[in-house]
Amino acid sequence: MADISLNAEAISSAANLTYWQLVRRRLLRNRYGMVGLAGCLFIVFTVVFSGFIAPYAPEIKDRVAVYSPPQTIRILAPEGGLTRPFVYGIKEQMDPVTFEITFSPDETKRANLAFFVKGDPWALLGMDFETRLIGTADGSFVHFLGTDSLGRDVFSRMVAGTRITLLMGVVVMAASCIIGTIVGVSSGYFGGSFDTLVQRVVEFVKSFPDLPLYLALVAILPRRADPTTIFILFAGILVLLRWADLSRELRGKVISIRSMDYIRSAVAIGASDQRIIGRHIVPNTSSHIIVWATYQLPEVILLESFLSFLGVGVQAPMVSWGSMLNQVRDFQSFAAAPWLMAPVGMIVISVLAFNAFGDGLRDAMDPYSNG
Amino acid sequence: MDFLFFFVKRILIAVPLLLGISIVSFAIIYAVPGDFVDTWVANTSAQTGKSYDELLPQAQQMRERLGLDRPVIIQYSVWLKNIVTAADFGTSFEQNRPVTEVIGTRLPRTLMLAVMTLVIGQVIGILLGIYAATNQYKLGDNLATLVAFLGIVIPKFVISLVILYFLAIVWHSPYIGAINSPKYILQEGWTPAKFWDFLKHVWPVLLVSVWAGQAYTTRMMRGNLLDVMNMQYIETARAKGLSRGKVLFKHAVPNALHPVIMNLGSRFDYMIKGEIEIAIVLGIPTLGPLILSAVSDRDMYVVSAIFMMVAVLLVLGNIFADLMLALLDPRVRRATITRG
Amino acid sequence: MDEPLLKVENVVVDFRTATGTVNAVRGLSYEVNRGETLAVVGESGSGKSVTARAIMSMLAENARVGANSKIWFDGEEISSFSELQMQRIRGNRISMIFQEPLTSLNPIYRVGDQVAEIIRVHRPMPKKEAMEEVLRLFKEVQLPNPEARLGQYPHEMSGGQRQRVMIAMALANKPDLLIADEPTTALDVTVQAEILTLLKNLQKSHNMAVILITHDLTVVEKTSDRVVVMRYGEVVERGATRDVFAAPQHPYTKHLLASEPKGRPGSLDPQAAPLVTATDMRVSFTLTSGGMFSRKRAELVAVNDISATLRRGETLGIVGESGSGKTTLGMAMIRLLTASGGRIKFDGIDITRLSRKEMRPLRTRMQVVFQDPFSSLNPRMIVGQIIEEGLQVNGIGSSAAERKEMVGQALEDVQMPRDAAQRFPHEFSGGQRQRIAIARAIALKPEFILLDEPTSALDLSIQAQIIDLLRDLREKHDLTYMFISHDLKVVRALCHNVIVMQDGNVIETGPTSQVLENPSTEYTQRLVRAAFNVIAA
Repeated sequence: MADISLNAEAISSAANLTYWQLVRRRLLRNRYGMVGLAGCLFIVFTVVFSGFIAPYAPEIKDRVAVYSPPQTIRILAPEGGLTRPFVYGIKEQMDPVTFEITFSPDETKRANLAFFVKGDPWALLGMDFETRLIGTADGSFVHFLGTDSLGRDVFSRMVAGTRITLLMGVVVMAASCIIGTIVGVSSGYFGGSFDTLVQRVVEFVKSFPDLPLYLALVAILPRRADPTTIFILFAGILVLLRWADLSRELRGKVISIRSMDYIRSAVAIGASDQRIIGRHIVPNTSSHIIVWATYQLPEVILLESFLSFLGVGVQAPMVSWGSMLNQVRDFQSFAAAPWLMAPVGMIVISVLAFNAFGDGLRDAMDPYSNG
Repeated sequence: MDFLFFFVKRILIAVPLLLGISIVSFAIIYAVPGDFVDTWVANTSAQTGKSYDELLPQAQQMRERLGLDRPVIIQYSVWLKNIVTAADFGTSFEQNRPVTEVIGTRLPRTLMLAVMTLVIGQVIGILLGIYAATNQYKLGDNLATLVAFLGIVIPKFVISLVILYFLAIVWHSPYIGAINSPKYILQEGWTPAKFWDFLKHVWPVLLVSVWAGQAYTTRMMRGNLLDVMNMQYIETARAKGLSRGKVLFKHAVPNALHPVIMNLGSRFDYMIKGEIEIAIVLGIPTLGPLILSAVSDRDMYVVSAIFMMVAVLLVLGNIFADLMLALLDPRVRRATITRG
Repeated sequence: MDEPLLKVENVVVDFRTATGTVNAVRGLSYEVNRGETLAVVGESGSGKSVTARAIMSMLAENARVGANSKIWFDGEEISSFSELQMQRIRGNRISMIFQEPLTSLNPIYRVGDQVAEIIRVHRPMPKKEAMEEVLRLFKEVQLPNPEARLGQYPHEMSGGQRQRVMIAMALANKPDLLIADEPTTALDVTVQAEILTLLKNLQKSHNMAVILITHDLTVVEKTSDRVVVMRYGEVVERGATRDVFAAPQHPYTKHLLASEPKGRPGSLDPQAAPLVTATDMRVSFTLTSGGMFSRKRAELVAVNDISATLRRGETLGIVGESGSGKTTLGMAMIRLLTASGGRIKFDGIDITRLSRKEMRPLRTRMQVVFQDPFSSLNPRMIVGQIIEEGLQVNGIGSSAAERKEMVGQALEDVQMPRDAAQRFPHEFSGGQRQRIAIARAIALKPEFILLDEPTSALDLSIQAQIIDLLRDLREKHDLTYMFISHDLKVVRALCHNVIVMQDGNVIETGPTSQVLENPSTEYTQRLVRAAFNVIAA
């Protein structure tokens, strides 16, 4: 009997961590990932509390202020010293020669800002609320990011648009994840003619020129249909072309896992296919799926924004960031009211945040990749 | 001899794919009620004030002339036959010219821009990737990775918008919305002056496209190179007494390039899409804006032809990438075992 | 020569990692004289490979060498050399060859060019002249068909041939010192013998010193003049090989030498009934070769009409080199593969064509332990779940508590603590994971266990423990083993009978003692010689 003491095979005394706890630890140490996560949480927060954060409901029109510029929040009183936050009103002037309308701050009209004001009602989880985060003390309109062609508050619409844009992203991500996983795992595991068939389908879907297809399909959707139907159709079209990507990747992964000895051991003890797929294969592909999903979100947001910008995506009265940008397609309005570009900021922030988080997540889940 | 065989085989596989795409594109136009004539009627009625009934006989005539009154299947098979026998893709209803002419001016431009940005973008990506890998975790790496990250993340149409804003409002540039200045448009052939003029018009497309295109390659090259540097044969190379530079460029980089080459096909695909997107925003007369207008006009043959063209480009791109790979990598001839 | 060729003094190497500093080498000194072979022996983690790279100044970026570490080569202190100066020495005066011949050569260049490169880097000459020298070198290392090899790619050659190319490359500039880091570990036993014999002869003809890094004690004993034993980054013993092997001083050395597989299997009950029989088994695969441009199909017969019988309580060894078909045979026997022909009977039941569902009730009676302890346990399940799975699937144990007890019992049987059940596989070492794999197998109380190279991936001392464990379990639970291995020493210690396979055919079969001590076929004789004597006389 060999002398074990000389062998010092001590079982590591480190706390036993599940795979996910290990991932969390590595993620917390990743700076970019954490910054990304912060951005994502900010976006999620905006989605949930969009009614609270936006001063007004997105449809509300301020008839006196059409195409009016943003009003800056000031805290320095003209007399000097700090004072409670306020904004100046807007006055219009028309240049007599060019008939150009210009706006400038009207120092005679001063409105103090107030927090937790009573505003338009909004709903969350079936409950109705009336308090909004910020507004004016006297109830007049305040436009932090200006107004659009119909006098609607850009800031409110931008915040409201977060919901639709994110909803589209999440729906498409979830649906294509589910479809892609089912197809990819089963074709990789079972192989045979089913696999060959699936592969041909995937190849076809992937070879399809997708941007022209989106443009074409979405362009001919009946405009007069109910916006919700359009939303669902739009999402459906996006899912149609996106699931194939995940399916192909997962198939490759499943094929390599299939040759692992622990799969053969499971067969040797008499496990059924369902059990092997459910308990052995899918848990070992879950990290791949999650990372893929995190990257899907920003891609879909970009795609939806572009298509809505072209006017072929989300339709009124639904508002998304892209559809807000549709207003700047017309060059004149672009020149006259550059603040209409504000949603660009939100797009960039959300895409950056989700990508950074995705990167951090990927590094945390697979520490052996040289990311 | 083998290459020819491979080429032919790939083309043969591509044929059912193209057929499928053509069917789908035809089907899309047909799936929605209303064809080109209906749009024409709606437009004309709006412009001239005539009612629908007044325009009906004209509409009927138009339908007959264009062949739109025949059943879908017939239209499709006639179209297909014409393509195969005479390379005739039909006529554009809107412009009343053969589709080949309509696309013929625009497709080469898209292609040229895509290829240019592909080449420049990939070269930059590879170099940046090498730079990042050799300076891993140092400032150079962080900068290169950041540039790559922004390239991936940046919404192309947004940046194009911003550039457009500056071009139009701030700089009052005369170079928007066209490929060449009027004096060069009719000029046949390329002179250095024409080329310079061309660049002055399309630099935003190049800039945004190249930046977006290098990103994925930079990351991939960086990752691959780091993996390759850990391989045993790199250690062998060092043990031979080779200088660091030689080890890197002669032994490491060619191996790291392998997956990048494999990906060229999909990068080409990305470049085409990117060009379309940016061109739509900037109004540059290439394929992009044409798709939009053709679809909204229900200009059927143009739409289908564009789909097929783009698909053909993608297929060719992939074949080319596979060919390059086979040339570069002697291991491509390898035995695979299947259960028998 | 009085002055040693290489003198390594007080070398300390640390690695800075994300999780802390790893002290790989802690103050190590040894010397090598001209023309002698020094073996550096140790298990994994001993730091033997790190030292070699320190000599060549080829450590990783995150390595830190101690301030007092000094290395002298031929009178010069090379530890203080600049990178440029070291480049002149590497491949020129000190050469190195590595373990994995497949990955040691750059896959995209021809081997002739790769060898020519090392020549032209140190002795610039026109390509044609260099290629002539390469040809001469190929002949010297006895590479068959040397002219053709010049234009071949690494993947077109076998492991042994690639290693010959590596040796040719290392010798090209007639170095004074050759460092060989586990040069034959990845090779078949007979090839190993050939390569080591070649090295020995070349060493004599070139009067070259060799540092041979290895974990294989037989190789050390047969090929080296002096030996240095390392453990945890330190030298625990050094001396002339003969002396150290005859009378080891340090307890670790003694322990290591004692870990060589020893003992003999007990006697077999001749009346025991046959448990598993295979008759005329045949397994074939279809090979599609050729890449994108041309495809050929060929049939590969992995197992060619083999018959074997295992009686209850017997341990049958299946021995062969890579490609012999031994693993395929084992997999087919327990129906993890379907045979293309022949018959398999388990306890009288014909299981050749049973479907997976029909096999289920028999699964608890036959189990398997695989070679790689790192891929045989699902990284996402805790050990308890891994062992329990078999019980759950087969409905053994009427409650969770009862199953938990059975899991605990299995862990105890393999000498692991019960609380290991709460931990994940990645928390354990290779040897411990193999114990867990064995526990998973015996938890089902099988009658027959297929062991596919269960100790090949383990260190020598761990291997000894596992062999002892397998012996104990065999006795305790009255098990029948089919033991697949390429290591004749282990087979000799454990198996009653043995089958020697080559290219899918049975070369020889019979009681182990007989086959290994008096092999009757030429192949078996070569195998036995290579395993136990290494160097051809």
